[in-house]
Amino acid sequence: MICTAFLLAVLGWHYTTFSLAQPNGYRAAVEAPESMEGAPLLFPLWEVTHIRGASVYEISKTVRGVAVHGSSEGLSVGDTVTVKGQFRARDQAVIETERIDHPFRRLKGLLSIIGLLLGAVLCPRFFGWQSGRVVLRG
Amino acid sequence: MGDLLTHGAAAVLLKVGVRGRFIPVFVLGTVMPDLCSRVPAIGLGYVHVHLARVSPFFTHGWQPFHQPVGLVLLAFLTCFLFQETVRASVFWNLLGGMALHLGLDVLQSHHGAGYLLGFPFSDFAWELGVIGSEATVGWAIPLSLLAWFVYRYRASQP
Repeated sequence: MICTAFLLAVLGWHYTTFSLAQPNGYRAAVEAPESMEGAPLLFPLWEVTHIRGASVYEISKTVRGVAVHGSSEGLSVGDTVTVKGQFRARDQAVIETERIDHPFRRLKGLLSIIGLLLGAVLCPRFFGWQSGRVVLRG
Repeated sequence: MGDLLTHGAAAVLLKVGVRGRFIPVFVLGTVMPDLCSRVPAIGLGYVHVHLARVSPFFTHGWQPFHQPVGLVLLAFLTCFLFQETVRASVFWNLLGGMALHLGLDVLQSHHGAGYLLGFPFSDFAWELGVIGSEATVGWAIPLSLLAWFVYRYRASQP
């Protein structure tokens, strides 16, 4: 069990290293901006955290406050968007080529919270604890 | 993680449909990938975006719990929480539920992000992309009610 838990931790660390080094990731672009000029970037399901104006807004997820140059029409702080764009080394900004809005993301989140609560309520109906082990009920 | 209800309901309907045993364990396996990867990642991601910087390990490191290799290890680890007499059945039912979860997830489109199903042996990201990532929102409540009624009906049968 200890070996399995250790393997899972190693897998998590390995994935983190792998993910941060992705060439289509913003973090990789910022580390070598000149060589990444014009590189295509993908920001799936990022949160809009600031609207600077009609043509610039900021998104955040694993990196905070990434400036995106593109129309902010119809956007509000807190919205979830997927942004495809190109990296601009000069100001480390993203020039948006496509923006996909996710208007049902909050509803999806709400349904998940309902699911979690339902699971927490129903859990004792189906699982119990006896002599240091989980036991099945019903 | 937004599909907890639809995943759980699909698991109940499938298990009742084949008159299988260990329904709660199978359902648990179906929701575990999101519970163990999305819930901590979203929670700590929120802290990172709005409150304080969080190490990338704690925002990215949960993802293997949503990939086949990590899920096999998780099912193996989890089955040791159960009594020895049911441990093998628990392992296979957890794994079956996890497979159903991934099978439903790859139907979705994330606009090129895809799922790393072969990680850490392959970095090939893949998804079928036949439905949008929010397409299940309208199905969640009706499917959950249907699953509940079907489960109750099955439980009332001799």
